[in-house]
Amino acid sequence: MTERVANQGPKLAASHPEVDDWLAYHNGKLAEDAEERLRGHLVACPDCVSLLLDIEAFHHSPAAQDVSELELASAWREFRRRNSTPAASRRWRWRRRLPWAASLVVGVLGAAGWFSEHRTSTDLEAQLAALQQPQLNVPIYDLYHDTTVRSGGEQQRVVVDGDSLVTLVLHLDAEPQHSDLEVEIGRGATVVWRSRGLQAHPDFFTVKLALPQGFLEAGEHRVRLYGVDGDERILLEEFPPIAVQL
Amino acid sequence: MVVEPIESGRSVNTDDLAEESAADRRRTEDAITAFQAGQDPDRAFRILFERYYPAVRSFFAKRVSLPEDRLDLTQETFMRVYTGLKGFRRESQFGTWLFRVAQNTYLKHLRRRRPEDNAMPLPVDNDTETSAHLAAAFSTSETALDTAIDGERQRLLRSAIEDLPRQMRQSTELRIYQELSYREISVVMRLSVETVKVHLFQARKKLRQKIQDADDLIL
Repeated sequence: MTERVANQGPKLAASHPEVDDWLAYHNGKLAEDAEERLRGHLVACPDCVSLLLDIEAFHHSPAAQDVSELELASAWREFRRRNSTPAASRRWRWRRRLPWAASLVVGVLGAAGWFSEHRTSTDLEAQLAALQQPQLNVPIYDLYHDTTVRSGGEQQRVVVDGDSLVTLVLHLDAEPQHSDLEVEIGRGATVVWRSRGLQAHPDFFTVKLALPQGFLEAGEHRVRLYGVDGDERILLEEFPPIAVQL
Repeated sequence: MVVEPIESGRSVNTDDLAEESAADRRRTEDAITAFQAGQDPDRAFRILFERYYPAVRSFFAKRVSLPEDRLDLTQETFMRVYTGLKGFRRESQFGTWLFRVAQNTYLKHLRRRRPEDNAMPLPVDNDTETSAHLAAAFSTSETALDTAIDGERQRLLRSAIEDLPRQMRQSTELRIYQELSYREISVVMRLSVETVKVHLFQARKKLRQKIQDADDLIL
C-alpha cells in the first residue's frame, strides 16, 4: 500500500535548482518567496532532499554518523601518510589543457586592456586588429605553487618567440574564498603586469590570463595571486618565479 | 524549547540541537584559528578531520560505487581542505566551504572517469524512525468492491492532504511520499523538530476526520 501511495504522490520535479541554491536555502540566505519555491520543489524531489540532507550533515549531526573510532584513526593515519609525500599526495592535480577558443577570447580581452594603457591610439587600432585575427599556437604554461608537482623541482621556463600571446594557467590547491582575484607579474622591484577582475574556475581551481609575448623581457619574473576585497589586496599565493627566455 | 506556531513564516531549527551545534561550531572555529595561526596545525586539523570525516565519507558513499574511489575522494577532499584552509576567510560557514570542496572533488572525479563507472543512483536516505503512514490504514483489497473503496479512499486522502495548510501539507507529503523522519523533515522545511511534530499530529487528526466522514458516506 505504501508503494501504491508513493507512486501516486507528487510528480518528480523535472529540473533541479543548483547546489548553490541549496546551500543558500540551507543557510537561510534566500528571500522568502525563493525559499518557498525551493521548499515546494523539495516536496516533489527526493534527489534534492538527499542533497540537502548531505549539506546538513556537513553542518550538524556529528553523532548521526556511525563511524567507528578505529576507522577514524585509520583514515587519519592514511591522511597523514598521503599528506606527508607531496608528489604522491598531489596526484589529483592533473593537468588539463584549456580549450583554444577560451584562451583566445581571454587573450584578446587581456591584450585589449593592456594596449589601452600602454600604447598610442594609432598603435592600438593596428594591434587590436592583429590580435582579433585567429591566434594560432598560443603557448600555454601551467604554473603550480609547488614545482615538485609538475617539473621535478625545475623552474618553469616561458619561451617567448613571437609577438602574439602567451597564456598562463595558475593552479590553486583549493577554491579561493575571494571571488575577485588579481595576478601580478613583477621583475625586480617593478610590477610589469597586473590583471584584475579575474576569477578562479569553480571546478578546476585555475586562474588563467593571457598577455602579449612582447611584453615580457628575458629573465626571472615573479608571479603573485592576490584576493581583492574592496580596496584591500591579500596575497593568496606566490608562485615560483618563471624564467622568460627570448 | 521553542514550539513555533503553525504556518509561521521563516523559521529555524531550535532547541537542544542548536546548543550542540553552537558548541560544535566553536570547536570548529577554534581549530581553524589554530591552524591558520600555525599553532600545532596537525592537531588542529585532526579536530576538523574527525569532526567532518563521517559527512565527507557519507557524501561519497552515496555517489561513488567503488570503495577505493570513495576512500581516495574522501582523502583528496581533506587534502584540498588542508592546503586551502589558510586562505579560508570565513565568508561562509566552514561546512558550506567543505561541502563545495567535496562537490568539486566529485565533479572532477566524474570528468576523469568513464560515464559507465559513475552509474550509481542517489538513494533516498532510509531512516530507522518508523514512518506513520496514514496510507497504511488501508489494507490491500481482495475484491472488486474493496478495490473500488480503496481507490476512493486514496483519492480522498490525496485530496484531504491538498486541503491542509501549506506547511502542514508539505510536512505531511514529505512524511508519506518520501518517508522522511521528523528530523529530516525539520531540515528540509527549515522548521524545528517540535513544529514538525505538531504539524504532523494535527495533520493526522484532520485526515482521520475527513476519511472517517467519507467512510460514513461511502459505507
